[in-house]
Amino acid sequence: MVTRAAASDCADELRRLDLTLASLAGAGGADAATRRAYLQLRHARLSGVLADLRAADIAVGTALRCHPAWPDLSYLRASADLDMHRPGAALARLDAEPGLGQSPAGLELRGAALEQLGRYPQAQDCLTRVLDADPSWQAYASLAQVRTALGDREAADALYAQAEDELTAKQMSAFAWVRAARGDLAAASGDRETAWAHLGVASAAFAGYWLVESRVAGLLRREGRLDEAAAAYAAVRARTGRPDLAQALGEVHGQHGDVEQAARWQAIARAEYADSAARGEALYLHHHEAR
Amino acid sequence: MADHNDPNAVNSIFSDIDPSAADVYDMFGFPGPDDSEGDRVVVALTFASVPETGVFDTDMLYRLRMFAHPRAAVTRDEPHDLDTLRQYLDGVRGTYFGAESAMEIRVTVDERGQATVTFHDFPGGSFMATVPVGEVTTIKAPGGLAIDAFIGGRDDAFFNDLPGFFRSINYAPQFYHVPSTRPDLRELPIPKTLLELEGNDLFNYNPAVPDLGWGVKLDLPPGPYTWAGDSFKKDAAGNYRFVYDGRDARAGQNVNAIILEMPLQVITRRPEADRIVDIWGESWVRKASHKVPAIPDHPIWHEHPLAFLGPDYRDRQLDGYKLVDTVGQPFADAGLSERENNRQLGANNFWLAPHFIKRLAHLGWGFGPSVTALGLRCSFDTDNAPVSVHRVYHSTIEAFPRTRKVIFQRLAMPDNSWDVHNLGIPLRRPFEIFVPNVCALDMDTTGTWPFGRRLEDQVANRFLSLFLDMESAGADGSRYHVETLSDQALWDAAPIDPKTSPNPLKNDKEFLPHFPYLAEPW
Repeated sequence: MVTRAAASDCADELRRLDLTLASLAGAGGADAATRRAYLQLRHARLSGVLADLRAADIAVGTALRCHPAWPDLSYLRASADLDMHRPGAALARLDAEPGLGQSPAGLELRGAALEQLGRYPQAQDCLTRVLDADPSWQAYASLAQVRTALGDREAADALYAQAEDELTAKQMSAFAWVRAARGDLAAASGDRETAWAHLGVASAAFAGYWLVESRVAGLLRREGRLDEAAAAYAAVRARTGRPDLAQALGEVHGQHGDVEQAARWQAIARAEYADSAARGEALYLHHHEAR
Repeated sequence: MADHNDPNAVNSIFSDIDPSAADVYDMFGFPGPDDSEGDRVVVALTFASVPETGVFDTDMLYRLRMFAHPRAAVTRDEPHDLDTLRQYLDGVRGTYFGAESAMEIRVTVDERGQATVTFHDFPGGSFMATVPVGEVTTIKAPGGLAIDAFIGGRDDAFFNDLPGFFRSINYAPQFYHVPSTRPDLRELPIPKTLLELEGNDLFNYNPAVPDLGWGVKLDLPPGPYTWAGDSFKKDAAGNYRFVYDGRDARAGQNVNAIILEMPLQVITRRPEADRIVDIWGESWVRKASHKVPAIPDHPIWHEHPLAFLGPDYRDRQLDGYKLVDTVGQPFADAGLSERENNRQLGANNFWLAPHFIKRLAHLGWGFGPSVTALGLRCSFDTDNAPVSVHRVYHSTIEAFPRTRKVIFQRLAMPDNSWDVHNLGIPLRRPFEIFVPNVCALDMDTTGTWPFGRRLEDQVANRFLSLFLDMESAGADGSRYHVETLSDQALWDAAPIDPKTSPNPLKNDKEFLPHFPYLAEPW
C-alpha cells in the first residue's frame, strides 16, 4: 500500500502537477498529449511511486502511438526508457530519429543510455559534445555519473557542482537531486560529515523528496543508526512501494538482528522483483537474477 | 514585442515554458517634462507581470545600468576647436567603453512587498533605499537630490501587432504547437515578407481560424515547411494582403515595472557636457544554491547597511544569480538576435555585429521586395526581385553590400521638433543605434526613438522604416522618415488590404502626463 506524502515542497509540487494535468484533460492534439505524458512522467519521478512510473511509461507509449510523427514524444519515449532501464530501446529510438538524436537534448539522452550500458568512454565523449554545444545541468550531472562509475569521485563532484551552478530557484527539485548525488558520492568516499551536509541542504531545498529521504536512510544505515534507518526506509517505502527499498529495509532489520522482519521484507522484495520481471520489465532484473 | 518573450529560456510562446518574471520587455528612457531645476532623466524597465500584476517574484534581481557621456558627434554650430575635439573623443570613449564602468541600480523585492533599491557607483556615492511596491515614493540621493520611484504593476506601454510581426517572419510557435526538440521549426524557411505570399498556407490569414496566432494555436502540420510560389497574393481587386492588421496584441495587458525619474546631476557631475545617457536593463534569477534556507531571518543589512554597498558584496550578491535577459534597443534581441539565450549580452554586443549584418540581409531579401511591390523606395538592394526571397547568409562579406544603405543611411525624422534646442544634432544611423545595445538617450532631444525611447513611440513601424530608402527623394521631392509607415495616407493610397498602419499608432490606455507616466494597470 502506498501512503500519501505529508505537506512538503514535493507534495506541493505534486499537487501543482495534478492541477495542470487536470486542466489538460480535454485537450486534443500532439502537443497536449506530449504535455500530459511529460507531466505524468515528472509526477512519477518526483513521487517515486513505482505504479505511477509504470502508468507514465504506458501513457508515453499510448501518446506516441497516437502521434507517431511528433518528435517530442519520441524524446519522452527514450527518456522513459531510461527510467525503466531500457537503454538499448532508448538508443534505438534516438538512432531512428537523426534530427532528435543529434540535437543537444537527444545527445544528452544518448550519453545517459550509454552510461546505463556501461559504455563509459562513449558516454563521456557524447556528453562532452553536449556540454560544448549547450551546457545544461542534466549534461553536467550525467557526465558526473559517468565519472563516478569510472571511479573519479573528485571530478564527479566538480561536475555536480557545475550542474548546481546552472540551476535556478525555479528548479529546486533538480537541485535536491544533484545534492543527493553529491551526498552519495561523499558517503561512498567515507566522508560522512560532507554527506550529511549535502543531504541536509537537499532536504532543505526540496522537502519531502523520496530520493533524498532514501539517501538519508542509507547514510543512517552506514552509521549504524539502525532504528532510525529502519524508520526512514519504512516511511519512504510506504510512500513509494519500491521493492529496492523493501530489500534495504529487510537488510537493516537483518543487521539489527530482527530475523523475522528481515525475512518478511526480503520476501516482499523478492516477490516484487519477480513480479516486475514477469511484467517484462528490466527495471529490477539485476536484483531478480541475483537471487 | 520590443523584447517580449526572449530569450528562449523564458519564451512562453512555447507551451512547456510558463511566463517568467525574467522576461524583460522594454527599456524606455526620455527627459522628464519639468526641467525647471535642471534636466531630469526618466527610465522605465518593464517585464512580465509574474506572479501577478503588482506582485514581484522574490527570486528575481533587476538591474538598470547607465552611463553618461558627451555626444560622439559634432553638432552644427560647435566650433572646430580642441575642446570640441576633446569632447567628441570623450563621447566616443563613453559610447563604446562606458559599459565597463557603468553605474547600476539593483532592485529586489521581498515577500512583504518591500523593494530594496541600491544605487552603485553614482557620482555622489553609493546609496540605498527600501520602498513599498505599488506606491510613488521619493528616494533621497546624496546631496539631497530627489529621485521619484515607482516599482509596481502598470498597463503595458508597448502597443504592437505581435502576431503580424510573427507572420512576417513565419515564426511558427506563435501559431502552432512546435516540438521543443526541433528548434529548426521555429522560424520556418519561408521568405520573410510584409505581404502575404501566394500559397503560404501556414501563415496567410485563414478565415476558418481567424484567431490563429491571437491565442489560438494548432499542432504544426506535417511539412513541407518551405514555399514554392513565385508571387505575392492578390485579391480579386488586385490588392495585396498585409500580414499585419494593426491590432494591439498587448491591449488590456499589464506589466510589472521599475520606473525612476532622477536629476541628470545624480548620474553625472558634468550635466552640461554629458548629454548622452546610455541605459539598459537586465533580469537575473536567483540560483538554486542561494535559495536554500540558510539566510538569517534578520538580514545583516539592517545592522550594517554599508556592507551591502561595497564592491565585494555586490559581486557576491550577483554570484548568487544567473543573468537571463537583457534589453536596450527595441528589436535588437527579437529582430536581430533571434532570441538566442547566448546572445543576451547587454551593452557589449560587439561580437554580434557580423551576425546583425547577415540577419539584416536575410530580413532585407524578405521585406525589401514587399516594400518595392507597394511602390516604395527600398534601402536594401534586392536586384529588383519581384517577390520576397528566403536567403541565408553565412558570410558577412557577401551580405554586407546588400545592406550597405540599410546600415549606413541616416534615419530621417519627420520634422525638427525632436532637436529641442535646435543644435543640429546629427541624425542617427542603424549601426550606431544597435551597437552597443543601449537606449542612448540624448538629453537635448525629446528622447523620441532613436534618440532615446518615449512611451508613445511606435517603434515597430520605426524599425521597419530601416528598409525604406531615406536618402533619395521621390518624384515629388518628398523623402521618407521614421514615421512614414505610420502615415495613414500612405496606406490609403497603397494597393493593399487592410489599409492600416502595420502596428497600432496609440497605446490602449492614455499615458499619464506626470510620474510614473505609464498608465494604471488593468
